[in-house]
Amino acid sequence: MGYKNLILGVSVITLLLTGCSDYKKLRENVVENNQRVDTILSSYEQSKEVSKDLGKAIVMSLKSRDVNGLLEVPEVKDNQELKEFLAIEVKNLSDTIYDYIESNNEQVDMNENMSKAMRIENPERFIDSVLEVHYFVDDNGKVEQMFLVQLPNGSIGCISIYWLGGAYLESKAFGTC
Amino acid sequence: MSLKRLALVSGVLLLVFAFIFFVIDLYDKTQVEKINNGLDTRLANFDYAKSIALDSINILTIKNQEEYDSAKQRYKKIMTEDLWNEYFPSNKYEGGEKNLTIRVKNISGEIINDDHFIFNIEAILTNDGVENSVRFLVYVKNGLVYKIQSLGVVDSNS
Repeated sequence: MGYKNLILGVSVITLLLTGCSDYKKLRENVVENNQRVDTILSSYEQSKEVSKDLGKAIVMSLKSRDVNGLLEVPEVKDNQELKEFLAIEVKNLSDTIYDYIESNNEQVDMNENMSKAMRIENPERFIDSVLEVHYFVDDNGKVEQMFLVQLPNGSIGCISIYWLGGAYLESKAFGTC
Repeated sequence: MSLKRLALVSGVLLLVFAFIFFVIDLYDKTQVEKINNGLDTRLANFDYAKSIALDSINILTIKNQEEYDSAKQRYKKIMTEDLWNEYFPSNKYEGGEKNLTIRVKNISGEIINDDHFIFNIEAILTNDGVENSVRFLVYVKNGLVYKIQSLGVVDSNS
């Protein structure tokens, strides 16, 4: 009976070990997933919080066509690369929006068949209606703070500032404006 | 060993094994439940929405009637009927043969709330051998894509 007990014992241990190794893998996956969720969500929140003031300053600069205010934001002040990028891109986008408003109003004034209601009387309100601000996060917790302007003539302008864990990474612009 | 004794031993062994398997199964079940209870599910909806957002942009590459028919069944589960009708208003494929492919480069998402997300997809769109880097915003609410917006060409290489 001795060797039968041995076989039985070995079988039970093998079954238990097989089960345990599955749990080990499952537990590792759960730990990995939890770390990923934590990294993404905390980086998302930190980056949104840190970039909030810069976001407000960019919106104000787009409306006022003046970039001086946003150059005083702490995140920008000591960052020559970001400072130069914003000075050029925000100014360009703002000029494009105001050029559009001007040309729209001229067209309405010159064309008697067009309703005067199509004039853009309040540029700031118009900018609010064509500007979207998004905060996109990727799998690594990298956050893209995107300022997207879509003009009624189909032109698109986009300024993106990238953050990771609340720290500035890089900036990019694209569009058809 | 007599036949009767052999049958008895086999029966007992069978019972012992059945009991062991029952205990192991119970242990398995409680272990899996315990591990699953520790799973952080805060991004579960986001991850699901991301997978359907990625799938939804393939609507742009439907090449013929056959692909249209198979896509129609699948897309019923991932996008609103209004959005499907926007792409195929006559309820049939009318685009002619296309040679269009999409390769996703980057995807990131905005969390509006637990069931509402916007995904920003950067992809390489190849049309008859010409490659363009394009961006899409894909809007997902309650597990259904309701809007796909193209932000146009970001960069082009012929």
